Amino acid sequence: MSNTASSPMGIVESAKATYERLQRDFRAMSMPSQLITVMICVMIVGGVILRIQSVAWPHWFTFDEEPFVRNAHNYAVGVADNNDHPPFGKLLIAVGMTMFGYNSLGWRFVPLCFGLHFIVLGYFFARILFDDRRAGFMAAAFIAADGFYISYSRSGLLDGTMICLMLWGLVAAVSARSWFGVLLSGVLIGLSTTVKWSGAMAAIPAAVIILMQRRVSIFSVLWLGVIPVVHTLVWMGALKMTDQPCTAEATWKVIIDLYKHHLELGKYKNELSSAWWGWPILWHPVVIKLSTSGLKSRYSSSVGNVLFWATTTLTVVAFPIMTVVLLVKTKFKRYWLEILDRRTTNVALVMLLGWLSFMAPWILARNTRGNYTFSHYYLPCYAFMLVLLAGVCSKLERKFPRHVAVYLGIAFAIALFYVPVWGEFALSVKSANMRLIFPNWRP
Amino acid sequence: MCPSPDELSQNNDVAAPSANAEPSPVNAAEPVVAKPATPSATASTAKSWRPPALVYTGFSLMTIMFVVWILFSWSGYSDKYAQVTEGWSLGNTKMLEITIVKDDKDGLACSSDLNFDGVRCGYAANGTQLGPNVVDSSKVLQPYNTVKNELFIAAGLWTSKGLPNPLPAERFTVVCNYRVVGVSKNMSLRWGTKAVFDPLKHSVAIGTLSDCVIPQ
Repeated sequence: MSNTASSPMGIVESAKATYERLQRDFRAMSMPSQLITVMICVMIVGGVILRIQSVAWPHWFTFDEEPFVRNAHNYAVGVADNNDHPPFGKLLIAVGMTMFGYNSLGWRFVPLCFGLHFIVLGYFFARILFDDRRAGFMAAAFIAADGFYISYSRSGLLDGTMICLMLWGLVAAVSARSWFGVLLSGVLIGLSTTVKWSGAMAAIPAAVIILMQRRVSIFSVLWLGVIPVVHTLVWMGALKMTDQPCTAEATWKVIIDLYKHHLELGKYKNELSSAWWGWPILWHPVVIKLSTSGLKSRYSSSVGNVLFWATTTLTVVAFPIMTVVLLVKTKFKRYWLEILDRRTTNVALVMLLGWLSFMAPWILARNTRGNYTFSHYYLPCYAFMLVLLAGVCSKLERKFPRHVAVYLGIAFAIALFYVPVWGEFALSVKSANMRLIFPNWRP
Repeated sequence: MCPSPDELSQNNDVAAPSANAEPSPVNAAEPVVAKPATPSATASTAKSWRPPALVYTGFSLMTIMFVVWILFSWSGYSDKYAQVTEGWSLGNTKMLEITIVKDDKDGLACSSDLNFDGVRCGYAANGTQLGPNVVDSSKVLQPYNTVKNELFIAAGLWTSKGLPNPLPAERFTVVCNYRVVGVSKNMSLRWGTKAVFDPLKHSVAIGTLSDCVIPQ
């Protein structure tokens, strides 16, 4: 970098030039595209503010925070972990607690940071996949302004951290140019797996992306084998921190015992649980945080943006059918490729594979886990679909800007309507129930 | 500002795909073969080199953590909430049940030079006892534990009018209103007349007790 660029004057001039360029670009856009740009900006900025504001409220444990926080504290003071998830997420929560103390801000600090980082990763993932900056900004906006991710960013839980590391691993996979990039992807997915085991499923779309890109030798994909190594090493370190036996053998015994424990969870009942088929249709979204003071309550519901949700669920059903139709009836291909090109179609299939990879364990484990599954298992699946939606919207905007502006306008209006029950605004039960319209959506 | 796709493509290790020079990442039919760089191309690369996507994402997480940390530190959050008692915040009043024995009146003490709305420890930070002319007995801070074993510092327990005289000989509990007037960890505590002052390891709530009664 030159001296001019790194000097304060150079930075000011560069910022000024960027601002002027952005202004010029904005003026050059059509009216619908300008509207879309404004909505994207408001969704991103609003999503960031919604995540941060009053995140420490309430000052007590909500939903599943207690076991994670108590065990994060245990790691900080060197006491054995008794929770039934791998250690890394709790170690990260402990970082926030050492910075801010044993209080609600302390245990929500790291999940909040990862929740914010997830927006950035959404941008990079979509941008690189679709080779389109607009798609990146749309993905960031969709993730930022969706209650499903807002509620988990505001809680001291593991799921937000797990999906963030998962997406980071996929960004590494999609941008890998050598074996080292694949190794980095494996390390990040390994860390995700060490927050929650389901993170390991990211290895499937990561491997497919790497193989389809053909930027690296096909044998490089074997570097993803580092996932269990990272998982075991981090776990060994965590055991050592708490003065537990930490040899590879002892660690594997802990892991296998925990796996057996998870298989037995099916016999338990939980009012908040929901079967896998209910997640794509918003059957039972959970109110993650709820506190009442006087006549007003504050909700942080995990109900998503219903328009995005409906679109993505329809896509999951329709896209494979359309693909089969195209394969059989090749004459439709011309019309299809006029709307969505080959690249977008291929990326869509990879995103669907990602969706399926994270759904499959819960579909297959129904015999052992029964209905002891929860809607937040859908967090990674929904992320794949939002990224796909962003890519398709960006592609369609070039040909049908008005239609896309109307679609995003409706999604924006829905987001505004749901903001109070996503961001814990003080409101009456009547007002909350107006938004959480179905009994299954209410606490 | 984000790099353009062609800027990202300059990196050989991990990078974003280029916008126009290379086949798309997912539908590429042929592997990309890197061409040997000419001197002019190398110079151009050096000039326009930008970090790859992973560096941006790593940097963004660091920045997010730093900004959020600064934001919360600036808001003075840790001055409002004690580390050892969840949710006890500055200015709040809570009803507490405290476990004590009558000897605690003389045995419990703290040492510090801090003054919170007129209440302070009975001993200075150097261990010197402060006389009644320096601090009124109703405003002398002492350490207590609730029945849930939560540590806090308070003044006004022994001068509360609701307590019987004489006090019970055995251990008993009292229920009081506790108003938090400060949070600190720059303090040492003593739990008996002959015990030594131990410095606090975590910040605790400091406040005043009122309306104390022995629950019936």
